[in-house]
Amino acid sequence: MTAPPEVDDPPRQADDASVMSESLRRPERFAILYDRYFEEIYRYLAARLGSEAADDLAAETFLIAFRKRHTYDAGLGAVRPWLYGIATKLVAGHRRGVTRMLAAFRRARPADPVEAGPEDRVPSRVDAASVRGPLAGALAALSPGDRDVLLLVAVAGLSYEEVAESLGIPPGTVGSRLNRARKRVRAALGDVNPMIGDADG
Amino acid sequence: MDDLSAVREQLAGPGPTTETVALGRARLLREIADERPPKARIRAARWTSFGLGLAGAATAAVMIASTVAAPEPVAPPSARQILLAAATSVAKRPAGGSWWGNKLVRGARFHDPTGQYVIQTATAEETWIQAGEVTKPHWIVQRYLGAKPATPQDEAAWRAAGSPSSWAYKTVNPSDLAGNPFDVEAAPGEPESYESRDVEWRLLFTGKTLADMDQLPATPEGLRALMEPSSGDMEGLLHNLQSLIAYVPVPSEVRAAAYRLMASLPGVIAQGPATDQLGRTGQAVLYRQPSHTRSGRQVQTRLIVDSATGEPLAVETLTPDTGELMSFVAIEQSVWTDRKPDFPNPQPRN
Repeated sequence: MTAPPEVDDPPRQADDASVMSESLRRPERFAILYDRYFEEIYRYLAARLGSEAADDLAAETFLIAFRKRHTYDAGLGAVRPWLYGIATKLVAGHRRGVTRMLAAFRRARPADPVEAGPEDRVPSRVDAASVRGPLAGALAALSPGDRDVLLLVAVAGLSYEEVAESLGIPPGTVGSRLNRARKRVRAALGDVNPMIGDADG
Repeated sequence: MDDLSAVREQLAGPGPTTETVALGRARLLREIADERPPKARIRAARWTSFGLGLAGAATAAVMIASTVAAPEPVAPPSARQILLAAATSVAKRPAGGSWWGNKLVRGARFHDPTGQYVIQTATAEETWIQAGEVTKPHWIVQRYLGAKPATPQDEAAWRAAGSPSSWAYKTVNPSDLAGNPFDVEAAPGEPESYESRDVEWRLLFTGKTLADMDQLPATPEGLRALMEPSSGDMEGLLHNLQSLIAYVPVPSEVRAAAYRLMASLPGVIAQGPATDQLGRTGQAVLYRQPSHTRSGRQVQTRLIVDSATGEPLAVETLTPDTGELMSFVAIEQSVWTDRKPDFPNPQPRN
């Protein structure tokens, strides 16, 4: 009649790691991690690449994680940042592999608008500055490494330590990349509070 | 509100739909189900291997006999014959050295932004893998080879359009932050090298390092037990065999076994002589595969093999109905070396 049973949930991180190791022998256990983290990985990917790409890449993140679970080393970090690391690599690969991913489609139906250009198959890019104002322009101008750090902190809400784990870089590098990225973003916002001032001005 | 919150707010969008979550989960569960080659399955595969092995030997005998007695009417070679011929002609390859390099040319065709003609792009891609651990870093050297009209007919339309040397594709996705519309350039680019610490999936799916490739089964039955994702999954099996043949430096006996196994599968048909995008001629077989870019659709895959050496020349993707080229991977060369290869213009890891 006192405490509800949920209160003795184990600390999530330790629990994630044990699910990982159980999944080596019982692969179906891995689905627990999907249920826990799919939505936030999806949101992170959608923020970076749009929902269309996220639909596919969020699922892909978990397929890769599943196949790679033998190589996961709990000593090098928790499961959640590890998943973000995989998702971030997919973002990079999505962009880098542009040519490779120019998968073709039928030329027999040029009139069909869906089939009329590769843009629905290539990582669709946008002139962000024209769509989203100065902030988007500043984000687009960042180096990929700086952008990864900024978005892992701002969107995914990872700590410095977790960003370092997920990207496999020293925490000090995380700090310097984040500072650089934030300076650019602040400059772009012109120190205007975007909630009050018009950031698109 | 600080700058981080501003970033978070501006990028926030709706979460996944229920359908997306369910589809992704189904993909994962399929992967999980497909993964297990537990002991029971391996044993089952061994049980059947005797029968299959005898059948294989009998066919080989028929093949030899037929060259003398010609019991069947003369006809173009069947897929079976093409693949069995490739199996017997697979040359012994020097497989040694601390680095293996696989040189590919990848290409794709797509419409110009106005939809009037088709352009073809190509990229040279070398993958260099060290012989030791699967998890050692490997390198990918990519060089964009340029874009041009795909066929003479397309070239005429391209000229009529003023012979543009680049093609700008506009945005469809307003939340993408990559910063630029997507451009395709006609001019080739500089080589770029990427170090990758990701596991090399091509090798991992065999469960072996480069140094251990000779431990792969050299019989069709043994390969089937290793490569069939789940019982009766012909598409998956064909896909794995094609990857093994085209992209993995296996000993000649293993590749021969892969050709023999492919020859025994339903749905593999002969096309006869074919020329790949590098201008090399070989014998082609066709089979259907699910489309990677459009779920629910199929494409035809065409595997072209050099009839003299049994080496794979190209894996091409064709439209399912008209058989038109959509994309291709031509296998230019597979090289072993002890010297560390050149990695021009290395790119920072991010």
